[in-house]
Amino acid sequence: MILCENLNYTYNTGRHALVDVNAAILPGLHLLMGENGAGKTTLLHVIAGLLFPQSGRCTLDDVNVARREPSTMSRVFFLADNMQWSAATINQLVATHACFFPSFDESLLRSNLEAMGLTGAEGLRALSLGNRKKAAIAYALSLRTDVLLLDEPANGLDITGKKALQKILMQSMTDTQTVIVSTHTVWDLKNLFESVMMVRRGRLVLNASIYSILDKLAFVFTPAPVPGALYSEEEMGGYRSIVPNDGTVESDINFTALYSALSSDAAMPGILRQLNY
Amino acid sequence: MDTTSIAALQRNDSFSWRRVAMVWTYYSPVLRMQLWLWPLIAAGIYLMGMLTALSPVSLVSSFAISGLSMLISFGPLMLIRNNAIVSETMLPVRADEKFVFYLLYFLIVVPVLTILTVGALHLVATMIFGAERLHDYTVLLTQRSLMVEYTYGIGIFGEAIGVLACLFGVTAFTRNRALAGVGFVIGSGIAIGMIGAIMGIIMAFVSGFADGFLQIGEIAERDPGNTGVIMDEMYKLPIMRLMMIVVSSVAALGSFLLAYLMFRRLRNRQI
Repeated sequence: MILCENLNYTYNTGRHALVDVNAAILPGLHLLMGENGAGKTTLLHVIAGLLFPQSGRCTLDDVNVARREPSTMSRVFFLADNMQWSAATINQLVATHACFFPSFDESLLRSNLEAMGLTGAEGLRALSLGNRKKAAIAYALSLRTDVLLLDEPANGLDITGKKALQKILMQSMTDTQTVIVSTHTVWDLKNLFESVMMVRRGRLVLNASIYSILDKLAFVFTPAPVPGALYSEEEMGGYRSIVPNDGTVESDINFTALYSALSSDAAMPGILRQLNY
Repeated sequence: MDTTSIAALQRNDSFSWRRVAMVWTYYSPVLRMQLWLWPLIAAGIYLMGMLTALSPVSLVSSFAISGLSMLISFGPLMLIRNNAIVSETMLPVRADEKFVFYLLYFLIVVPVLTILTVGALHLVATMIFGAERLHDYTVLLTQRSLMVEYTYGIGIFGEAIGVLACLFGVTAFTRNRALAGVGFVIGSGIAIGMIGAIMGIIMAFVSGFADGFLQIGEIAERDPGNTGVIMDEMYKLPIMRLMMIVVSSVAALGSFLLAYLMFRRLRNRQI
């Protein structure tokens, strides 16, 4: 389990990227949301041991990741938005980098690459941004680390790539794995997320399972605004609203509406109160 | 290595030579090229120096020899070929394992390869042109080893500091790493040069320009292009030897400091 305790991180510029972040992150696929500059990537960097918080700590099964011990670092992998590699091809990466990760699964890599329409022999520099991303995702998933942190994995992917990403994520994930996906394009993987985290101005304002959210909130689409809605926004042909759920209304989560509601100073307190936050 | 042995290795957090070897594996795509490129450049520099040594403009050959030293110093720049700083920092190895690898590779492997290439070429050149014609060039080539010999081995730090300065530059910084590496090499060279110059002036005045300095001056006036002979004579002076020991000791202190700072940065580097 990843445990973030009172994490605070301030950049040299004085910007508070993380403010008193506390979270217990269990295995599963988690969505990390937040507006640009909210602190999402900083949080991923802290979990990956790439940044050391000024106060607080982040542990993986009780071991502080900031110690960067081989036994911990071989269980964590962070895939940056525009990752640079030491190797020229994925095949070369398998020979020179995968050897550090005991859980690496080469057959999974081959199947992931195939799903992405790649072989692994392509020169990474010669590939387009989207294809480079596909190769990197296929590789990162095949490392099968206990913790996988994906920063904007769907960025630059075409529709086929996004479908393939969904497919290989489902195929590759194990029950014991914790995958955190930081993304703005939430629709690409919307059916896969088990929980959602929302960072706002450096604070983790929400960390809840989809199940617990839907137990307390319902996402409805109506021709007119719903009276008493916790949040409402106009969409083409009607209004998307978040209303309290007494457990009787069945609805699908709408990440965009939830994101907008939690980004709104007016709606956020009501939503969090309803979720018992 | 099979999965079971990797798993056992990666469960163990104490220093491991196997992981040091794995760091080489990790860097091999970018460093393998250096294993042939550096000897090739060294050969080019040697040949340039040799041709000028055989010509009337023999002074140029001493610049060529400095080029060999610079080549070794700039070796760590290869580390930033792909600028994979995130993957490099997250590599599941200890900071001291990376540190040991850097030192072994850039302070031993690269210099040995470079020196062996030059040594082999010089052996062939001596057989072709004769030892007499290449005498001055031989003196130039061996003057750095003479310095090491005359300073009881401390002189080696005069060479190591350049490599460590470059290593520090490319490992301590996360942006503009090439610039930092080059800047630190130049900076360390200027610092050592200035200390040497100050020491030289002090010692020349202290000795009242006696103890053979005048004699070297005469040689330099008589044969200004003959740097090899001038250097050879200089190293024989006791006061020069003392000066070299002092300068080399400063270089040694600087080298240890840079190595320590580099290790600290490897352990604490943040992205």
